[in-house]
Amino acid sequence: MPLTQPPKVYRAMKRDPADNLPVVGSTSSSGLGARPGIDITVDAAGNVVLDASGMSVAPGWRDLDFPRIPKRLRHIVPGAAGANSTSCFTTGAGPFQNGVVANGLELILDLGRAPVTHGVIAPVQLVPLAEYQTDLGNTRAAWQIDET
Amino acid sequence: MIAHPPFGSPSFELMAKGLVELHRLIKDGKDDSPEAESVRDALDAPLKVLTGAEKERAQMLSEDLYSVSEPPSATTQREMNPQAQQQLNEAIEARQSREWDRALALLRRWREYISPALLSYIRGRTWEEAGYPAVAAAFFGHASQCDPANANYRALYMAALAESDPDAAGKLARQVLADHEKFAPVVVAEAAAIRFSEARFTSDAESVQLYRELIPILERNLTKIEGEGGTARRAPEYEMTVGKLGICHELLGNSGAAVHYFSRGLQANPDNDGLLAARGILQYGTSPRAIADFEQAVRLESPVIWPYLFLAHHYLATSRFEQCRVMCETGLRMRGSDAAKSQLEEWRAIAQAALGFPPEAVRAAFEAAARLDPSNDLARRNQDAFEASLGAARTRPHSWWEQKSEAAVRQFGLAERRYSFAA
Repeated sequence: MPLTQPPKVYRAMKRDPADNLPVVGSTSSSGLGARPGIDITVDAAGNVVLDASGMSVAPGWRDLDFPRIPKRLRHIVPGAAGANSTSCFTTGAGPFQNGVVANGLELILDLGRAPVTHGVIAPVQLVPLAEYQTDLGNTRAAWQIDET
Repeated sequence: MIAHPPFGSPSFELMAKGLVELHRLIKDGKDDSPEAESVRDALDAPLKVLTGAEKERAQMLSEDLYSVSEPPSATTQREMNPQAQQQLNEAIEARQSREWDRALALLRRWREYISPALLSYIRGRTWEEAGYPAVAAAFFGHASQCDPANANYRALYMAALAESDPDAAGKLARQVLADHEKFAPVVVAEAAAIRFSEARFTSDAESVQLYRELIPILERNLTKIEGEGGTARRAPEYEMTVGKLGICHELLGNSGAAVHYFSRGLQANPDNDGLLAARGILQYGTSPRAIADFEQAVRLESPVIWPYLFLAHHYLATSRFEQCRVMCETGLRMRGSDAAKSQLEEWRAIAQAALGFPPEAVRAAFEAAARLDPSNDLARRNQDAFEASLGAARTRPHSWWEQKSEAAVRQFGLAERRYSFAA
């Protein structure tokens, strides 16, 4: 049991029907991964840039952007317009604050007044893009669906 | 005219258009498609910069659009009762006083009591008046689907589509006109208006062809409206049909026929400033009725430049310089081309000179005329003559200036109007 729990974060992602875990991918924002040039900045050498960019997450599934929340949850979040093939996944158990999420990854909250409702999972150090994507993919088993 | 703040930032506009597109895909069962995913991706950036109020408005718009993309079953519909009716009236009043969010919230709250067609119609009107034709088209289209017998819903849908998606509107207009006998006059009139506006992007030869094709269709439409008798001649489609017939004839050079149709429209609605200006231009210099038409259009505060320009020329030609000056200044605030505004600046300069204004004011108006239309040689020559005469204390009678004849001004107006239809 680690001394500090990694922060609890939520993200809407495509669900793999085989094991109900998120689909790993970086071509759309509904995969477990970061879209280069959109979610994560990459330098000319192919390394990630440590500029507080990364894969978007929120402190609760109701805080996710409404076009991403599966439309089956419209009765709870009006206007939710995400595909029903996506689910709201969560990982971690600690408070939503800056801190290590998993090996090589950290949560960086947006700047602004509390309560902050958006942050990104970013690399903790300068690494090649592929390594960052692998680190994200390695968290797959730690995510579970929570739409309560 | 009162300027109203826009109902949302440019990012909200992107958001609203994206949501309409996303719900179109949801309606087509493609909410899980790569196409829908890229629409959602495109919404990320605008959503991030919306204000709190705009975010909520966007979310509620998405919720309302479900009435179009995934309509609730008929069993959820409740019978209208006095309380719901009162709330519906409040929603309409809120819309009329431009309280869009309140109007939409009231409609949402009482939606189960309002028939789907009426609900979509009022939502469409609200978004249309708030300046979002793409959203309006989505709701009007749904109203028309729910109540196909209501031709006004279909016409409103086509008009909103013409603003938000001209290609789709053009396609629809062609379908209507190809089978026009099957459609209500208001729908045919709207389809003709859409095709007419498309002529702006076609060659002269193609435009002429289009006007020739539209004339018999519009004439049959007119016969159909007149056949309906009673109040039909007071309906907007009547004015629209005769107005378009008049313009088709005007652009084909058939002035007599054009005046005939403009007059028929004015018999139905003597306060249609567009028809007054159109008939006035065709008859300027040949009938005293032209002046009466322009004066009436000015009384009606017409937003287009023509009545002011023609009256300014008329007052100048009859040495009523103060009236000319006022008409020029009013006309300069209206919608019009630079060439037309250059003309007004030149006449303003002449009127000011005649009224004894300081040379600087006269010079400024002449210079504005040259700036607005560098090809306005008459303004340049009149300014040269004015500057040359400054040393000598002399009065400058009306005949002292080089001026256009009534026929030349009429030709100028007709050519400019033709250009504005084609621009």
